[in-house]
Amino acid sequence: MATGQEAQTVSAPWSILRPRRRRHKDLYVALLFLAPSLLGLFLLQVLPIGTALVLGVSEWNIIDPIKFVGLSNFVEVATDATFYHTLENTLYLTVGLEVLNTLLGLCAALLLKNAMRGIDLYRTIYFLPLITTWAAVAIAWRYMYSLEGPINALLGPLGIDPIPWLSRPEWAMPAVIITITWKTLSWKTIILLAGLQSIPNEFYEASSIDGASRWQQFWKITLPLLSPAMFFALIIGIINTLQLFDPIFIMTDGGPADSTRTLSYYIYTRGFQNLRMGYAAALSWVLFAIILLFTLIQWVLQKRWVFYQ
Amino acid sequence: MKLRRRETFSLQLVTALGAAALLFPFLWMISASLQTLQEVEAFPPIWIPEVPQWTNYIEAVVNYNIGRALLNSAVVTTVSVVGQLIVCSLGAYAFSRLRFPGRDAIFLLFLATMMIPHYVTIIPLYTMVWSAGLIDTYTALIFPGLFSPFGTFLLRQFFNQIPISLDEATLIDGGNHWHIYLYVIMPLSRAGLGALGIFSFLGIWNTLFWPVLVINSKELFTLPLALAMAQGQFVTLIHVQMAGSVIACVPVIVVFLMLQKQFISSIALSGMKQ
Repeated sequence: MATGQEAQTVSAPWSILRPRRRRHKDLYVALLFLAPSLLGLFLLQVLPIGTALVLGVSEWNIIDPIKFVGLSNFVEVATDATFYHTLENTLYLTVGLEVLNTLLGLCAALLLKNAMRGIDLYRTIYFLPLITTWAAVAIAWRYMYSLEGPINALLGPLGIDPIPWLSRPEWAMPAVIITITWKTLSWKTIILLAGLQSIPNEFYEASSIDGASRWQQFWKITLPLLSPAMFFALIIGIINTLQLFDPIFIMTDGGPADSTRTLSYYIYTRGFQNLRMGYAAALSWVLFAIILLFTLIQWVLQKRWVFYQ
Repeated sequence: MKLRRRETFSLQLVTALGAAALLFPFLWMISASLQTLQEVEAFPPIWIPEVPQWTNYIEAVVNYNIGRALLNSAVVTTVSVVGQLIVCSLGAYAFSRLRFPGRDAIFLLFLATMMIPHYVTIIPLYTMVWSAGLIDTYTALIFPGLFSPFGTFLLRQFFNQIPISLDEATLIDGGNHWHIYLYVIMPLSRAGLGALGIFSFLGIWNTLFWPVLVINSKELFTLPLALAMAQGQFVTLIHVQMAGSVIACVPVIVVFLMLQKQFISSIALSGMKQ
């Protein structure tokens, strides 16, 4: 433990003259403070990641002894037609969700930025879907999508025939995308709203004096200055979408005809419904590689469109 | 920017329409939870029940296990969040205030694990819990929530903003690192602890994936799991299921209404997860 006398020297200018072993002075205290974290890091991260590496090159159904199979899991992934199908679904979901979320999230942020009457109430309502339990709202959405449910009832007067939302492969993914947009839209909004609020008002005032229109201001000031926030929201948004589980588990279970089985849900299917732990682990490493690749590509491309002040 | 009057009106209108669309699923959920079975199955749908069926809620709590699940969720979430705050703040203190060999390397390891997706670790974690005979226990539900590399990172950032001169003052007064942690750092980091607390509360209260894997018996169902399982089992009883969904949403909404500002800044700050 440090004594009062030692403490006085902590920030003293001559501290660099102290012997090197000073760096160790807090070692025992540090071990005490860090012990729970290190235990957690080991049990919840290091050990599982190591095990996942071993599982990736093994065949194991939990009950029989584990068997080393080399890279055959990865060879199987490369020739697995369902894997490619889930990859397509994942791409469909990610692109659809990012486009909708970014467009609507930007609109919502531009609306909620204004000081209008009742803005606090509006903000509360806009942020409500984000915080509620996925399981609870996904069940509600499932019933809302039924053939004779409220959504088709609302579309009826607009001249749209009842849509078999969750029972047809071609409609299931759009339905899932709409629901996830409803739920996660405000996450985008919060990030973009914070970005909007950090743009100095003088920029708008100065350009107004120079005769710029609203539209010009949006394209020349708002969008460029918002691009770092959009970039951040895009990266995190994609990483989150690639790992979605709850809405698919509740609403479609990957069906109909695998039309909503994403890669992450496929990992769950293989691992926990078919008990192929080794294959599921191999798939999870593929997911990791995809996330890494996506992030790297975005990182490289950001130079083209992200504008840092 | 000064807005013209007509613009203000149209902005209001669009914002209100958006709010109505976002609110619609909640309104339908509440309405359906108060209908009779005939009403909820009617076509075209009935928007407002003739006589609110409050007994649906009693049925959900008593017959469909929602009461027990509510209790389980409350216990699991409370223990996990409090535990995580303690574990992460202790670790963050070491990274922020103490000097020891390998500090930066260990911290880098914490950051590196944040890049690994949940799906990589969850399979081995499940097999570990299974081998340890912990399937179907509170321990299995609680222990993954007790530690978070992200939480440690977030708190360290907050602790680093607290001037080191306060530590020195405490040491001069004869205090030790435990005193600094407890009486200087923790009280001055309420915003950071609040952000992490809210963030992990949301995550753990709402989580479905992990309980799906490690819990089989009804007595240990958390709320999301109970709702998901009731959906499979009582597929026709939409009104009772909706009552269960409303019950699951109420606690988060109440906490949200009380701490809205902190909620939003915690989401903006943490940026992670949905």
